[in-house]
Amino acid sequence: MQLGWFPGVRIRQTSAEEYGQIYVPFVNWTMMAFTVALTVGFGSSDRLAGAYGTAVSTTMVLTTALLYHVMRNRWQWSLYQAAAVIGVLLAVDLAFFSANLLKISEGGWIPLTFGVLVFIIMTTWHYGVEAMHRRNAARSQQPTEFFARLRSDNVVRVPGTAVFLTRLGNAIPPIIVNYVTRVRSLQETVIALTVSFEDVPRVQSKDRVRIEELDDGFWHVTVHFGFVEIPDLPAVLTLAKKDGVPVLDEASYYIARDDLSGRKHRNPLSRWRITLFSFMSRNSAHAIDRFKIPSSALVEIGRRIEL
Amino acid sequence: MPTSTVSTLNAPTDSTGVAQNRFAQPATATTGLLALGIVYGDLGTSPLYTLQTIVHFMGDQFTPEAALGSLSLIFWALIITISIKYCFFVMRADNQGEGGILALMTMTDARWFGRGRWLIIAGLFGAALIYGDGIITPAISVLSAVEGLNVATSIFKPYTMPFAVVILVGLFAIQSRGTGAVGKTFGPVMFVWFATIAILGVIGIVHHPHVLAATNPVYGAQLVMNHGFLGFTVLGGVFLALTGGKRFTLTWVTSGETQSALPGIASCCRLSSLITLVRSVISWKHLTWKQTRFSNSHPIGRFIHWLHLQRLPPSSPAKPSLPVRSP
Repeated sequence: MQLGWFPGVRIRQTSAEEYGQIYVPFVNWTMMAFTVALTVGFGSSDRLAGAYGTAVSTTMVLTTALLYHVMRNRWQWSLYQAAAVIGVLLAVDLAFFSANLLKISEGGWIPLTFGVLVFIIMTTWHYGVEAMHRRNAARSQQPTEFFARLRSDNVVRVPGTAVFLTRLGNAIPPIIVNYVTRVRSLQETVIALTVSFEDVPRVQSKDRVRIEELDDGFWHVTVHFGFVEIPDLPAVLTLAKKDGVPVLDEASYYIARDDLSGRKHRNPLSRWRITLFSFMSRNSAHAIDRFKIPSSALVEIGRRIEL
Repeated sequence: MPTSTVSTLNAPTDSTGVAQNRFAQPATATTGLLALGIVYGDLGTSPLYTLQTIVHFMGDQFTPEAALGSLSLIFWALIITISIKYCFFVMRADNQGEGGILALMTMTDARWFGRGRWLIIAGLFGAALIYGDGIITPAISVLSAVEGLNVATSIFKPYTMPFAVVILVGLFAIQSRGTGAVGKTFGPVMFVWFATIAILGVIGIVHHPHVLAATNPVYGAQLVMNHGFLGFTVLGGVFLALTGGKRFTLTWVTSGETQSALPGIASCCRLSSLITLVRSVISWKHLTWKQTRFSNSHPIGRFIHWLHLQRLPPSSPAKPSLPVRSP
């Protein structure tokens, strides 16, 4: 799976045996709607053939261009070698590409337009996600700095267990930093929980959790799930408890819910893209919805993020 | 499909780098059949409309020489694009089990924010466009198959389009059971289909061995050269034979079934060459029929009518006998 190029859509794994057989209802039904519309609109395969091929012939030209780059830079081919092979392939590709350009008025514009729409969605999503990651990274804090602040500010440790769902990288994520800044206290047991999906159907129980104590009462737990498993987080905590994390039964789960707003952009294009991105972000499926978190123990922390 | 499995923003992803255990499955006949249904289904249905479109484009200029020429163009287009470009080069670009244009894009090490943004744009736009034609593929395949029924009986003629819509909705509904389920259902059907066209092809070769002349690229070149602009337009029709090859450009197929089912690029090429051969041979049958019946009244109309006979899916009960030899 290529990461980060498409909004989160609700998916369903349809096979417990093989990775890659996923079913994306949204994509499936969208494709169906368009396919049926084309069938009704064109009515016969003769006319539909006129619209067919423009998009893929463009893809083939682009594939050849990328192939040249890979040959030269990855496979270390000499210029003559690569140019000779690519020359032949490109000649064929371009012949078909230009012949297909003639079909644009006969309906060839339909697949091209559809492709452009998908492209806009993918790049906007990527652009937005990347921008949010940068913003998150900017608001994160280095662990040493963070733990030093816990002591110097005399942040009170109150009884209880807090589980923050994060993708903890090298730094303490903004959700925890903000929480401490605002509340000026922290639970005695804090777990930064990272959920990771592997490309196997089920993860063996010995590989399920990895626990690391970062500081006094501050743990980083990484839990691995297979792609057919429904993440049961309370059960994970039970596992963690066995491994020595002092988890209390009434753990609270904290997750961040981001609300996007565009700053006043001079460029109307980027303003429009931000609007599209926040629309997709609001409507995309949240992986957290699949986790078995008891709703009474869940605390969502909303944040406004300006892009 | 290049859709990420989970919302990239909200799903904490692996930052620790765990051993990624991919499934190493032995290639079996079953998985091979599965791949046939998923990967090659597309490749196998394009003869349904490729030649018909070429005939449609050329009108009364579709002479026996032109037929041999288009056959030659199809043959060489498939060899160069599918067998050489995709099977040999593109599928060799293997990025952790994923192939295709997105794997190529990843292998260039380009970044959206950073070096080589145009490579990312090329890769993404190319992948996005596959969805563009992807909405036509089911429509055109099902429509042309249903239109084939009109030849056997005209009862269904007014219902061709609604009938096609019903089949399409059914097919998309089955998708919800997974590509594995789809492959299991259509793998055997496609196997019968390929076997049928292969047998017909061999019969065709035996009767008219000179069809193999189409392997000579000169005929194709002549077709393009001698017809000026029309020859150029015909390339658009020839390309329809390649649209099935886009399966090789998508990532999701190469990640699972193809890899486990086909124990290597070689077999993939062999299969595609076989299909190439089979397909060109079928086309030859059209040609011979055309040669013998050309003097009849409304030859093109009858030819297209006969083409419809060819387009019956293998499961259709009403398959008429095929006029291999001149009647």
